[in-house]
Amino acid sequence: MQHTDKNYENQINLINENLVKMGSILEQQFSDALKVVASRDQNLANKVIEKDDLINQLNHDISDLVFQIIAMRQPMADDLRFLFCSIKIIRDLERIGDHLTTVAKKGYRVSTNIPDQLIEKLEVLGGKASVMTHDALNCLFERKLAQADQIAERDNIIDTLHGNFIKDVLSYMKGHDDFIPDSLALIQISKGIERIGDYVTNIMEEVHFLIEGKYNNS
Amino acid sequence: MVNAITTENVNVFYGDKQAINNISLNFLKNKVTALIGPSGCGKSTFLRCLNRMNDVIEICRVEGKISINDQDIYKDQIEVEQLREKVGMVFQKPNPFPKSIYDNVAYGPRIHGFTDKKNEMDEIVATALKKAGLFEEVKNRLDDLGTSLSGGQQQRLCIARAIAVKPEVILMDEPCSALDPIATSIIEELITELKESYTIIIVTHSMQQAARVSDKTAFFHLGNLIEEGDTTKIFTKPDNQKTNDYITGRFG
Repeated sequence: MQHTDKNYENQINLINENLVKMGSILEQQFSDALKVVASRDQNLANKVIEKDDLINQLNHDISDLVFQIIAMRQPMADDLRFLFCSIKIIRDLERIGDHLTTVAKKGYRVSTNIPDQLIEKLEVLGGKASVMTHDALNCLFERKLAQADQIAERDNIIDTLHGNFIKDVLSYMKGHDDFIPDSLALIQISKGIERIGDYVTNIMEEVHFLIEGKYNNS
Repeated sequence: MVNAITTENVNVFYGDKQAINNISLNFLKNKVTALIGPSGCGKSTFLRCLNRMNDVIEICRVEGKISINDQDIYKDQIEVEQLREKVGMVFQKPNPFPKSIYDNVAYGPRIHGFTDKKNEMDEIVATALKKAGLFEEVKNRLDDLGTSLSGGQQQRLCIARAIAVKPEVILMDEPCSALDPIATSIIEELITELKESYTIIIVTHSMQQAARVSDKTAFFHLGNLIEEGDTTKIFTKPDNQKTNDYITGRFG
């Protein structure tokens, strides 16, 4: 049911629309950043980096609007939960954007002489995190409780893949002194993706709260 | 947790029209319960059943059981004056009698024959005014007319008048709707202090007020009790969609 006050309804809708916008920009950034890792395409990397400004702008726009609504409307019940969660989710989304920027920045500089196997493993990790992010954003808009909890649990897979990847890179570094800077870049990329998994997990915890009015296991 | 008032299967009719549909709702002792809902939902009608204010409306008929201390207030041999000594009421607009501040507060104790002694009555009046947070403002002009006070002071005078007869329950029907925000804050703070000694049931149109002052909230709609529970829960995660829609401004 819609709010009797149309301006209020529009304000809440605007927050939702901006969240969708933020999510879709991030998904594009994610896909491009992974392509950068595979192709070392500097132009594409710059595209990812430039879009970070948009994410930051949306973060501030949503934040301002939530702040205004709290002051002017004294929201309650599901509106209050939505606004409370939005303010926390946009922070996580903004951080995801920062990590994707790192992935792109480091990604295009990695030497093409690095073995394909390592890059492929990074692509697998990135692919999992990217699908997790995509599913999480859908879940945020569809608000399905079981899905939120299930998506949050996928962070374990991301952590394991990241752990394994670090081991692989470390053992590669041992015999390849010349590639230490590149290897460090790979570790930073992997770490960035691992952190994205954490932020997506946070978002799913917020969605759980949004639906249930309390955090999972609280 | 002890109930101050219990109600079972209450139905209220105005002539042929049913205003309350089979409501059972209990009120915890020393707690503030807020009744909320859109105009015409029956919250005031229900409140007025609790001290038989509806008796004066000829076409009004109340069915079901309403008990205070296990005594059915409609069936047992209870005089309405006796009942209202136990269940006081404060109304939407402050309505002091056109008498002095002192006489406004002493009125109830006098008709209930609390005391004949002047010094004892002085004490009763002072205590009630202190509890209502008004004494310091009026102690040097107790002979002035009650109606000469400001709106917020008049409402506190009405609260003093209600508590002078030592009730167990105080009913408040939108007690702040005619007051400015500062006077409202003073009354709300007072409500929180008063619940230590009394059980308070408040009807309010202000959702924020219900959220601020009450421990329990009951949501009424079209004469039905839709949901009742802890105020924190009702305003953050109500169980019923209708409650959610009402308190978020989606209808009403």
